[in-house]
Amino acid sequence: MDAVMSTTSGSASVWLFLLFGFLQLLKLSGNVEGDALNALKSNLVDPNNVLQSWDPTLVNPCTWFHVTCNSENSVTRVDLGNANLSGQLVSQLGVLSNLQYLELYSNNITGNIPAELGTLTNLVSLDLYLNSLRGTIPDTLSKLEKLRFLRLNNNSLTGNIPMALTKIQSLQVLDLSNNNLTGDIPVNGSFSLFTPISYNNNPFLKALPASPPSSVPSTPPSSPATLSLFLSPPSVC
Amino acid sequence: MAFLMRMLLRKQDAGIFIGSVLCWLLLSCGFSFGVESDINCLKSIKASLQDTLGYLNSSWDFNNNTEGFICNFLGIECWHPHESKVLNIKLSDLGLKGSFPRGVENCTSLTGLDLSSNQLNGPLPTDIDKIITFITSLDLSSNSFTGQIPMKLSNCSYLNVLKLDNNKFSGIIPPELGQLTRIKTFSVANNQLSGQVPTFSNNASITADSYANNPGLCGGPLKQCQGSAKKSNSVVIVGAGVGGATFAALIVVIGLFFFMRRVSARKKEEDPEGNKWAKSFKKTKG
Repeated sequence: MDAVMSTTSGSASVWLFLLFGFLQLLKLSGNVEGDALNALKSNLVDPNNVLQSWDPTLVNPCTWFHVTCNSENSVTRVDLGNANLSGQLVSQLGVLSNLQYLELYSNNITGNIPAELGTLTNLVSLDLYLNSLRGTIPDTLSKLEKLRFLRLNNNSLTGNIPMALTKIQSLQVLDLSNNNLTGDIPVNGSFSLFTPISYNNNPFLKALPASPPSSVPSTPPSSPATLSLFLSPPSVC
Repeated sequence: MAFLMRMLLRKQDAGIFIGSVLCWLLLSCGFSFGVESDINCLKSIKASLQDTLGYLNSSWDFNNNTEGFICNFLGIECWHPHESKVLNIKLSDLGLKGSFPRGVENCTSLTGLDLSSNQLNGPLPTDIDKIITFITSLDLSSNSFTGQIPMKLSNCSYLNVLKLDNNKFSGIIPPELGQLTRIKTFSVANNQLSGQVPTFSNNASITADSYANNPGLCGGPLKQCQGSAKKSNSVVIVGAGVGGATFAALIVVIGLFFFMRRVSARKKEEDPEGNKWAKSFKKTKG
């Protein structure tokens, strides 16, 4: 009788344990993306309190302002453009596997572009322009096979433009202007679509072979408040 | 004295007032100066085209002056959502009339222009390379454009797509278009073109379909141009030259022959026994 009792209670506790663990797991998986975004919040300086609604105790981040989810409560958009944010990006952003739009433009974000962004295989738009990002363009970004908009202009990025980016067939808009990039400009693959406009104001970038160096125009930085002349077209294409 | 002082003060106030107005004007100009050209570009396009269906009239409202407002215009795609820097203009099938809108020149960051399926007419500007310098995709198909395809299109070296089909272009296709190394799509079908087609560097997808329905195009994927006719022409010219020279020489020889005969006949007349001089020489000798 004792043996039976102990076996029953033993199996019951095992089942309870498993159930408890399962529930915990459910809660955790709903929060992996929330945790990632919370890590971002912790690494950013937010004087305007735009991230005030980012409450990590909630079951998922889908009710947070500036966060959009799909029908399965997975994050598809982060819209924090022009939010007066500073601080740095975090590698945890790479876990947002359904992310399509990462809009962090027009802030004062410093540091590097995390290589982990290369795991965001559903990304359609990567807008980090008008910030103070440094370091190189990670060549892991070449894995973003659905990327249509890659706008990294107006930062302090250095190094070469990764040749592997030319493999992204879906790329429609590329803006790397106003940086400190060096090396050659790729012209093969999807990059045959891009003109000197995309690379403008990178003083040490080698001019495109199709046009003479003198034809690289000098556009003003994207900041609208500058008193400078509009792009003057070269006399020869 | 007090009155003068008051006048001076008033002038100072006026000066400050004018100064601050100018400052304000300058600042507001400064804010929009960088994008002024693109806004003017669209204003000019709207002014130069006949908007028969009223699409531009309803959508292109220049009164709202917020940052990047033109980015929400029908057919306009910007480089960045809140900056008035035009990336593409797509105005296909909008019942537009008029000639090629030269005002596009002020959209200095333009990479795509699609004016297909409208009722545009007239020739294309010969200095088109100055107007759409960085164009990568140009679609003017299904309009009523006339005249020659501008040779200077060959300077638009970033062209990937060039669609000029279903128009009334005439004359030859400028062979210089073959210098466009990035061309992926090229079509001039259904025009009034003739002559040798250009030789493109990588004849990727330029098949006979690209040239279909033109009265006199030849070469490339089409049947060979009439090069043999040219050859026989030069043969004829050379032959005629040789023949003429030979004929002239013959005339000269014949003429000389008759002349000589006349000369000897006259000699005989003068000296029937012939060689009088020789006989006299013999006499002296003998």
